[in-house]
Amino acid sequence: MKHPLRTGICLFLALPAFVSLVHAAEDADTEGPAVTPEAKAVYDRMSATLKGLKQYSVTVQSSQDEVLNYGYKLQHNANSRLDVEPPNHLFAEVGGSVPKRYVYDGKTLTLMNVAQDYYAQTQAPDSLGGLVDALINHDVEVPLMDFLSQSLQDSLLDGVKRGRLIGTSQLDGKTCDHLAFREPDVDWQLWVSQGKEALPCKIVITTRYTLGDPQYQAVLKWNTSPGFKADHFTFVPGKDATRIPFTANNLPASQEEQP
Amino acid sequence: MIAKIPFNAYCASLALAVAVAAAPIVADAGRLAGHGGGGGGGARAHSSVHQARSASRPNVQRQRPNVQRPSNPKHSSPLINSKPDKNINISNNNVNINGGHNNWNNDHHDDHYDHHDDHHHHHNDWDIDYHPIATAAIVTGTVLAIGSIVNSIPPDCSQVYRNGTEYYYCNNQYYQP
Repeated sequence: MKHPLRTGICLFLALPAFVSLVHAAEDADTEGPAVTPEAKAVYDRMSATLKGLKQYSVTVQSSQDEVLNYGYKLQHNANSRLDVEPPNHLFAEVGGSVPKRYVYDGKTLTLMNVAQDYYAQTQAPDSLGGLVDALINHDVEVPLMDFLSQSLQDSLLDGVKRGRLIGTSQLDGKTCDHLAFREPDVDWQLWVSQGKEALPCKIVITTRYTLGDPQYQAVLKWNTSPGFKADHFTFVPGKDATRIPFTANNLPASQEEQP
Repeated sequence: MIAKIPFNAYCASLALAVAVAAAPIVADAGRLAGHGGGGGGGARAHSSVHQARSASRPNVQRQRPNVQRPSNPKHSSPLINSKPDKNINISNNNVNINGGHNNWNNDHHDDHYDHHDDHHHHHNDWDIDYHPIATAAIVTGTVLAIGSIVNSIPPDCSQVYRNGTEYYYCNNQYYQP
C-alpha cells in the first residue's frame, strides 16, 4: 500500500507551478495580486499596440466546441477575416456553415448571407465600441469582439480572479508570451507576440459553467499595414442581391429603423 | 471497470435528451446565428470573453440544463462505439452518422429511443446524431437570424417567391424550405 504522504509529495512535485497556483486561487482570493505584474505588463503592451494601429487585417482560424445533448463534443472550424480601421470601419468575413459578411461604415451595418446573396441593413452606432455593444446585446458573435472595442479591451481583466504569465510558446514562427486567466466560470488563455508589435497570437476561452467545458480557440495572423482602398468599407450590393427586412430579435420589422 | 447503470435511469436520461433536442428552437435563432449559424442546438463555447461571462450569469445560464446525459460521463460511451460498416451522411449542416440500419432522426425519437437504448447496449453500434436540422433555414428576419437554422416553420405563413425561389414569410421573417 502506498504511503499517503509519499503520494502527496509525488503529486506536488509532478504538478506544474501554475496548477497549484490556480487551485489555491479558488479558495484564497486575497493571496497576492489577482493579475501578476508580469502578466499585466504583457497585456498592457498588447493593448497599447492595438490602440496604436491605424488599420489592420487579421485572419482568424478558429475552432468552437459544441457539446451535444448526450455528451458528444463536436468541433466546428472556421476561417474568418476582419478588416478594421478604427474607430468606425469594419469589414468582416465570418466563416462557418453559413458564411456571413458584416460591413460597417460608421453609420450603417450591413449583414449579408454570402452564399444566398441576401442582405439586411440597419442604422448603427457611430463607433466600433458602440457597434460591438449592440451586437453583444443581440447575442451576435463576431471573432475578436473583445479587442474590437476599446472599452471591452480595457475591461477584459476586470472579472479576472487570477492571471499569470506562464512562459513562452512558438506559434506560427513567432515567440509569444503565454498568459492564463481564471474567472469564476470562465478560463481563458492568451498568447501575445514578443517584439516590436505585441499582438494576440492565439486565444482560448473555456466555458467551465457548461457541461463538457467547451472551448473556443482562435489562431490569429495580423497584417498591420493592409492599405485598404477608400471604398473598402462601403457596401455595394451585387446586381442579383436581394435586400430583406432587418428586425431585432424581438421586434417586428416595422418597428426597426431602416436606413 | 465501468459500472453498469440502472436501465430505467439510462432510459429516462435518454428520453429527456431526446425531448430537449426535438423541441423547436426558433426562439434561440439568435443564439445560433451568433455562434456562426447552422448550429446543432448543443451548448457552444463563446468566441469572446465578455460573451462567455455574460452567458454564465444566472438569468441567461440556460445551457447546462439542456445538456442531458447519464450522470457519470463514462456511461455515455455506449453511444459512441466503433463499427466498421457505418454510413456517413453530411448535408447542409446536418451530420448524421449511423450504423447503417437505424436512422436516428428527430421524427423517430419518440418511437425509437427505447429501441436504440437497447440497441446501443447490445450491439455496440454507434450514432452521432447532430440535432436539430429539420426543415428550414431562416434567410433573414433579424440581425441574428441570417443563416440560422430552425427545425420548424411557425404557423400562419404565406408562401412567396423571390427571384424564382420559394420562401415562407412568417412574422416578418423569410424561411427557406
